[in-house]
Amino acid sequence: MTSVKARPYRRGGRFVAGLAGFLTLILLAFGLWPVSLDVIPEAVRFGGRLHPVLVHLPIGFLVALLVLEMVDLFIRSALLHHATYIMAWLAAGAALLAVVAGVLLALPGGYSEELLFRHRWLGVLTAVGAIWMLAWKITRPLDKPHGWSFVYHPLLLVTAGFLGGAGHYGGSLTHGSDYLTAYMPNALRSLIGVPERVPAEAVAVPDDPRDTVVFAALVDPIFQTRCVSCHGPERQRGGLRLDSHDLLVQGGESGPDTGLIARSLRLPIDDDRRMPPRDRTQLTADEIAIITWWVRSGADEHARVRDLEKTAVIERVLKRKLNLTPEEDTVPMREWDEIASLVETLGAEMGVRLQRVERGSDALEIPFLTPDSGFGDEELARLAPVEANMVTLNIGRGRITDDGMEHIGRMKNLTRLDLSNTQVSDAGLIHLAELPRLEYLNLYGTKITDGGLKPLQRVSSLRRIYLWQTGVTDEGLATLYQSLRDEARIEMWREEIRHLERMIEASEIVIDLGHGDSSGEAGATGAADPVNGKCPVSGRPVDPQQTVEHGGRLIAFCCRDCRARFDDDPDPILAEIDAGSREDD
Amino acid sequence: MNPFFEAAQRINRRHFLGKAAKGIGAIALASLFNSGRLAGEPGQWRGVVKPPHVAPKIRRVIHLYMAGGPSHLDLFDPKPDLARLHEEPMPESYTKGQPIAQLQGRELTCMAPNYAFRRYGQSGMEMAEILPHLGGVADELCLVRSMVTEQINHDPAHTFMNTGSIIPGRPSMGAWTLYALGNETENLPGFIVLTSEGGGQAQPISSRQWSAGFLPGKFQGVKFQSAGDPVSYVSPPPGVSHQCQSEVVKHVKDLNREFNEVVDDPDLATRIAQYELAARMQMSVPELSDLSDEPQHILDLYGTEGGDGTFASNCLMARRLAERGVRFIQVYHRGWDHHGDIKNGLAAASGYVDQASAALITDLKQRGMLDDTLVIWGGEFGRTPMAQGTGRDHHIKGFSLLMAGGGIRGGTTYGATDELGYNAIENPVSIHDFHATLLHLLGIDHRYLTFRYQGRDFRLTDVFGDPVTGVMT
Repeated sequence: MTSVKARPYRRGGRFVAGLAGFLTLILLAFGLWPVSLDVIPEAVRFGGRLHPVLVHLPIGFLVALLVLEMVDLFIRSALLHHATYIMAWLAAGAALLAVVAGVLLALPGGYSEELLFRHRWLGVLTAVGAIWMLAWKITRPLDKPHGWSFVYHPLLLVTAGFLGGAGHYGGSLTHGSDYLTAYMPNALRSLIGVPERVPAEAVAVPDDPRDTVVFAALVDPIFQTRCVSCHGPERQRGGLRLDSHDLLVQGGESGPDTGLIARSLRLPIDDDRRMPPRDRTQLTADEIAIITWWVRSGADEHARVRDLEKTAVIERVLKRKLNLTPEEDTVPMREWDEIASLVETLGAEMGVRLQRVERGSDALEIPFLTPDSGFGDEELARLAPVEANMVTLNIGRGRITDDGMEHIGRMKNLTRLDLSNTQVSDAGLIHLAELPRLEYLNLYGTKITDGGLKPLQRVSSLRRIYLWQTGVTDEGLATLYQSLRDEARIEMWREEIRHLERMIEASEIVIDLGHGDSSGEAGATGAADPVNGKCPVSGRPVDPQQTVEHGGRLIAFCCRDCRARFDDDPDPILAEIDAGSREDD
Repeated sequence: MNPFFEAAQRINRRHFLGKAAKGIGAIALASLFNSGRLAGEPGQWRGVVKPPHVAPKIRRVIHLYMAGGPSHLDLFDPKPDLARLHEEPMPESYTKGQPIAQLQGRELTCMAPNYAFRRYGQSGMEMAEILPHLGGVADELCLVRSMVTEQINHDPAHTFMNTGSIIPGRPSMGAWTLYALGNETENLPGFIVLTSEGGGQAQPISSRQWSAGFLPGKFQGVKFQSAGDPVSYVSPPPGVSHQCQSEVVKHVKDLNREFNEVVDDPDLATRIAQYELAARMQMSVPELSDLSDEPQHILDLYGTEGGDGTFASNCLMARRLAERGVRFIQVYHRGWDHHGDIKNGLAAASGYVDQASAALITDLKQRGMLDDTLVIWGGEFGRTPMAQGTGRDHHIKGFSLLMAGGGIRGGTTYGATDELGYNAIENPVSIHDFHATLLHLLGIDHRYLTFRYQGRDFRLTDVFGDPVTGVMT
């Protein structure tokens, strides 16, 4: 302890004060006149991005300095005192660097003006405080603890205050201003004057979940929790705000494009344009599905669940989110876990394959009956516990009569029904009238006649019907066709196609160079067409953007890297091109 | 190696027959299936992909295998530019450095398409005038004009088409399918191969093409005879009644069972099960081959009286097998290797297969079966734009294949070759892509259907292949 060498002179106080004053002026200039640049060099962007790294150094050093100085007041140790010197140097240096980097980071913009103003000034003042503390320390004797000073210690406390403020607003800039208080207990809130938290206004769930407004209930909450911290009132990354429907429709720097929002969510995780960026909390698959669905359906603010076309995937998500059953008129399937053992037993006892349609699905099928399977009306009755799960029933050649048809009539999710070569007759088909999803119906080799087809006229989902070797006449077939074919809907799709074709025509671009100036034309084609179609480096097709003019010829490459290789050493590549063009000839 | 499989090797057929009663048809029949079921899996094999990875579009596959390499340039892929260059030298930019089979070192000249093309169906699909019947079902067909393969000689190219590898010993696609999904019926094998006579060519096709490779042998293709009894010794010999024979089988089974209580050999248990299949086939095969229930208009549709070993009769048999739940059926027709006299050769080969191929599609459709059956029509490769005298040589860089059935976009063409029909330049479809598509339609993700053998997981598609979404609905 006592071996610390004494340095019994005071430093040149005037020089140090002058230097500190100069730095102070520069720092204040940063605060007063925020620089703005039209084009921001990449080096500047890079420097700015060091700010989040550098900014934690002065925080650490200043807090350490504060603690050491407080301890120093009570334990007069020379070693401790030396440590405060080191800390003061480090704190001032790091604060200066952090301010510079911070100024660079702010250049591209995209932050809330008010928060940035406060953060900038508090940061600058912190650095100023750290510099003057260092200046004061340098001009004191190094070897002995100085005790309480009416200049130094208040300055230290004030600087620490600035630091706290700068840190707080910095955090608000990055995470959003209510990041800290979002989950603050109300007791603490009233203490610091933050309005009390009202229980999050539960988006009203209507009696019928199909009346739920998609944006308000499903989409907006995702934006609020996952996106608004960077695309909200405080920061507008890419110029985009997602905190209200109007703003998100306006889009960002690239113009209105709600599709871009959905696309960004689906980019690979390592793509720079992926949202949220890979180091942020990611959306769940359900959330991505919901936003994509809503955007693709037109991104309407007031659209309700029932208004939008739903895929099977969305139906499943909605079931989880809103406890929604797929369609009003369908019967929900029983969960696979619940029926797994029953399905196995039934299949084994009946000697047929009764199985799930695909992995992860609750839907069941009987894919095929062998001619001698013995499957008949009684077995159909035994399927009652899983009737809602049956989607495919290929029971052609089974011993099925009209008695069994009522069991089939209860399988409301049935899409494919093969009753070929069974005893089913006209009377039995009445039970098919109430199957809302039936698409495929095979009745070949049965006793069906025209009269039996009547109930099928109501099954608008039917697409493929097989009636070979039945009593059905051409007339009955035509009647059924007419009643099933939805001309109005088909005309609607045709209109849609015509509309899209007009859109394509409207997006045609004509660029006319005019005629008459033949020399200009020759020059233009000479320079515009690359001499090679394949990249001379990689052999892949060329990108017309990546070209180099060399010796009057335009040489194209597949990518920037290959072009760079030409710039490094053109000769072998030129030789390759010459060889290639000889081959083409 | 599969330990059960090893056990199966230990008791060979002769050993088995020695232990059991000799010379009875049923036993000979059982020996056809001597590789046995996987032990510990009593009853019907239901497959390893259970439930399917994706909802299946098809339940079964009928592969009309045009062995020898039908000329895409004369049948499916019209090339007016090739006609213009008739007897002119083939541009060297196409052929330089490319593999060539029999035309090596010869002067290469173009040969114009030998037949005119016509537009068929509502879709206006262009096919040759010598395929009027297939043209009649054009709206059911997806014509892939951009197939590519890797092997330029018949046997390795067949092996590649069937197994996705040129190395013999890999399982064929039928075996993989059976391993993945099992069969729909217990009364017939799940993978059946038919070969037809006629067409003037009868290049041998190795039975290795439908082997199970390293998969358990019960998944291998079973070749039925196309004339006479489909399966040898399936009828009881003269003087032996069904009842008498089934009693013998029952006693043998009882003896086996008793013996098995002493040795507890899982393979013997497998054998007992084989007896049951054999006995069931004694019932199912005669019913299968009895065409008396086929009305005359159906026989006329195919153009056969049945049971005569023709391609037409095999197509009819294929439909009957499909109706009875057989999962994978290959119908080989050998008559497409037209190195010489291609004009007459094609007319003859098309005459043998055109009507029956189309009849199969029509017949499946009217039964509502085309919606869950995949029909494939094509060979192991195509033929060169260059003449080989009066014929064409083998060609692998671009050829055509037809698909029809469940999940297939009918009335469409997919992909294209260049203006001389040499290279597939638009949407090329590799054999691995083809296999991936086939498995996808069956409900199988080709990346997850694997079998561990010699320390490595094998796939039908090796490490390649993507389902071709453009051919699917």
